[in-house]
Amino acid sequence: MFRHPPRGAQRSAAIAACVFALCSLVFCLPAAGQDIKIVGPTDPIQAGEPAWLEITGVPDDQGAVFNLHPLLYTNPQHIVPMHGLFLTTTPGTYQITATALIVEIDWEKKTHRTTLIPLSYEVTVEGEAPHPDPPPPVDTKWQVAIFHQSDTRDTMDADQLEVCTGPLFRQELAAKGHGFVGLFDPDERDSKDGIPERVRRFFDAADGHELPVMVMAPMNGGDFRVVPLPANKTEAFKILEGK
Amino acid sequence: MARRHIDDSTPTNSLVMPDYTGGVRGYIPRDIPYGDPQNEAMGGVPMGDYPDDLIDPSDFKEVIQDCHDRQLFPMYHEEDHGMAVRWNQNGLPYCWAWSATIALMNIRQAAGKAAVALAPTSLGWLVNWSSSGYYLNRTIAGAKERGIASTAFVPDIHSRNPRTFVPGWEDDALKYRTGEWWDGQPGSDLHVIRQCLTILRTGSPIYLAYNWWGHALCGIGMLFDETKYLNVVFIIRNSHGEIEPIELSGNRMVPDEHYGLRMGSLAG
Repeated sequence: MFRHPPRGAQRSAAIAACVFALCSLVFCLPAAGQDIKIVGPTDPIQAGEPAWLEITGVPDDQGAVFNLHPLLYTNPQHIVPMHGLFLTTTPGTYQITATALIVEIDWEKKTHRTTLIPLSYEVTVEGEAPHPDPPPPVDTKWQVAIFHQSDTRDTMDADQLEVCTGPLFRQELAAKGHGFVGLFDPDERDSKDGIPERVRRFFDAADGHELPVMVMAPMNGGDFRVVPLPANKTEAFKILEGK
Repeated sequence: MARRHIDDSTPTNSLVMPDYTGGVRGYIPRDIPYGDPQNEAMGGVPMGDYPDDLIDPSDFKEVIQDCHDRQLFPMYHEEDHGMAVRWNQNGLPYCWAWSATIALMNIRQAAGKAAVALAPTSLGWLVNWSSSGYYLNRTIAGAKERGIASTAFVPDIHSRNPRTFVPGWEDDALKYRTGEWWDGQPGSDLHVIRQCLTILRTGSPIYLAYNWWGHALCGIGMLFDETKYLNVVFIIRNSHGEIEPIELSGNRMVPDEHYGLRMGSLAG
């Protein structure tokens, strides 16, 4: 004869069922990042052709973002999350990266585990390289800044030192209508100074280049040019005069 | 160029200015020895880490001549800013401040920054505004931290009383700070002179001091002279009101401490 279990036993069974269900939910989640990936065009795209990229496989309650890339547009004002628009006119192979953040909660143990999943996707762009910008007119007058690591200045030869610190080079610059902005060491940047506005764009232009470099800005406005520090002042003037 | 020339035969007493005989040394030998990590924490890069880069004595003649031909020595930057003439501590035992200040003005010129007259007494906080000497390495560190105010904010550059300074002088000083510096390695006379020439060739002035003189000065160039000790004459900016730099030769020219200022701060 079947008998109802006592009321206390019913409550225990109900609790056990709930715990089992929760545990099942946790352990039924796919392993973190198993299906998360960046999806985009499977074939090479043509230069100038836009390509949409999307991070897929992310559970609704989790998130992922594209990492910063100069050719990937992800502005949230125009593009929904986890999507990006890639566009370039320069052929080549580009690596786009993203990061997914997965948080797994174990309600029974009251613990959680956070996993950062790096994602990567390669975009191949085919086509003709764009024509380089036309050279500036030969009579362009330049503002010139030199960037170097000052602790290596003692290893430079005299010809390069003359370009860096020599007053004769600066006098010749001035005589030819150019201007000397200064000799800089990026290590000078610190929290007390920041970068003065008048030289900020020169620092921006020098960023990412192997030092020492000569940064040139047309007096009358235009694109900055960054070239390795010329071997001597004769070479420097050849560059400045477009020869 | 008519310069005051000092060599080994010059009596030491004649070097001490009458207004500088109060028994107070302007220069105090360093308390943090060369090679101590504290110096690096203050921005000092040990010169001895790069022994291979020092100029070989056999090249002294050619290098010194080349530095004059191309005007690479700091003495040419000093001529360009023109503010070192009659540089005068005027009896204050602040040679440590005067020489650090002219060194900073010189390296600012080498970096193409605007010529700004700076006031050495704005470093007086380092000695609590007292009439005292001080350490060179700690002076550079102090100038790196708080800078040196321009004379626009220190109307009387010989006043040690900060109440006579124009309000805002401390903010102004922050614009004129020293950057990293080479920490000169003690050693033989030749080793020290090799370091000094190596530093001077880069356009960096040398903040230096002599125990025998109890005095701090600013090295700005060298001459080659085969009749002199080590074949060189040291060209140095003193702060006793001279128009021209002084020239030191003989073993007295070899500094007991020497530091090369590499850069000034970006601002200013």
